[in-house]
Amino acid sequence: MKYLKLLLLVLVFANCSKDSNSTPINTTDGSGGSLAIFALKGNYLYSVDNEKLNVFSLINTAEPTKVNQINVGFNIETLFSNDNYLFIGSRNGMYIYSIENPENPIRLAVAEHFTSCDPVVANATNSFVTLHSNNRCGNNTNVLEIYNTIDISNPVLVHRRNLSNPKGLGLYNNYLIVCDDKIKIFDIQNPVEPILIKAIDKACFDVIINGNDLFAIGEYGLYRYVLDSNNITNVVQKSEIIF
Amino acid sequence: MKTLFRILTILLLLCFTRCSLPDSDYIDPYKPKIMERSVMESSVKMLPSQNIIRSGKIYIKDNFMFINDVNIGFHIYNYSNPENPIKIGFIQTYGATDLAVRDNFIYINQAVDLVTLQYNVNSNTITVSHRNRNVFPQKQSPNGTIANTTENQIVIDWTKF
Repeated sequence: MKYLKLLLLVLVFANCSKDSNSTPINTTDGSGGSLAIFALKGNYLYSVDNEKLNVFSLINTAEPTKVNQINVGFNIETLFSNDNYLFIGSRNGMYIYSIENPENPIRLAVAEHFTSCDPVVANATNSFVTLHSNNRCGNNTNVLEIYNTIDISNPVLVHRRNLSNPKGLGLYNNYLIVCDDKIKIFDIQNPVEPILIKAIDKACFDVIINGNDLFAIGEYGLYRYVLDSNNITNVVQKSEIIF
Repeated sequence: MKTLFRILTILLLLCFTRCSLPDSDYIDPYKPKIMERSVMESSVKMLPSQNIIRSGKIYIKDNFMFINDVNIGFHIYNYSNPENPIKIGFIQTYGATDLAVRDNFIYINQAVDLVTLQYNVNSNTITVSHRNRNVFPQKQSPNGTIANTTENQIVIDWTKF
């Protein structure tokens, strides 16, 4: 029990420091999934709508103030932040913005693709996009794309593969977790050639990975697992909420 | 140049006939659910826990899990015991699909507004701390239709008829 508490503390701490380069001390942010439209960073709340990136100042956390809006494109769907970058998923492509100047994001790159829905997540070297089709987003594309984004202004497609119906996704160390027909865990040590390591037989559309906790949400339930960084195949289900 | 102009004109016409003319051939199978602003604003409240109708985005803050019920609000679960999550309430926010939490402030996209709620963990209650009005566009139908609304009418959802 004592150990668990310590572990929780470490996790909480790890979680705070992850996103807090310029975040004022004593604030703690939660975490969303890859389909999120909000991102908290420093004193700012970023939010995408259908066409724009909106910037709110949180100098007063109780009372956000809109300080900018930037036209991005059409059919914007998701927002993900990593380091000083925002990754925006739209039905037409992935946009990368720099928030070095936090009130005035600047577009660095756009990687366009066929019309489909596409959340994106990223780490320091790569970004990961799923494209899936449904009634809303037309054609028959169901793929995972991996870009090399070491040169952030120049994303290079390094891997593309067909999946069943991929949606939300998340990163855990050197692993990529994708909601597909099952929850699929890929080893991405070599991002050019990811390898499936484990599949969990649950349907989901988004995941949150928080420390070693994996939350997966589907149409019929919410599933909570504990991941083991020493043995990724050892995934233990903690609980499930059935809707 | 002339050809380009022609193409543009045709594209524009196509767009107009598809998107806005009520007497066009195109009928969007989706119908807007419209709410008066005053009703939408006053409907924001904490309710007893409810069944989930259409699960949406999720969000984790400390031991709390928020599950969006698309365009209705957010279910709150207490995950203090990871093996036994307990449903503790429902934040009714018509038109909302996502949120973010910093400290005890919850930022919600309620249709065209950004609503800030202050959450009291101990009493499991909320108070509206701020509302940034009309910072987001009105919701479009999944097919891209824009509803006809007056100033105080807010589209909170689109449903198939």
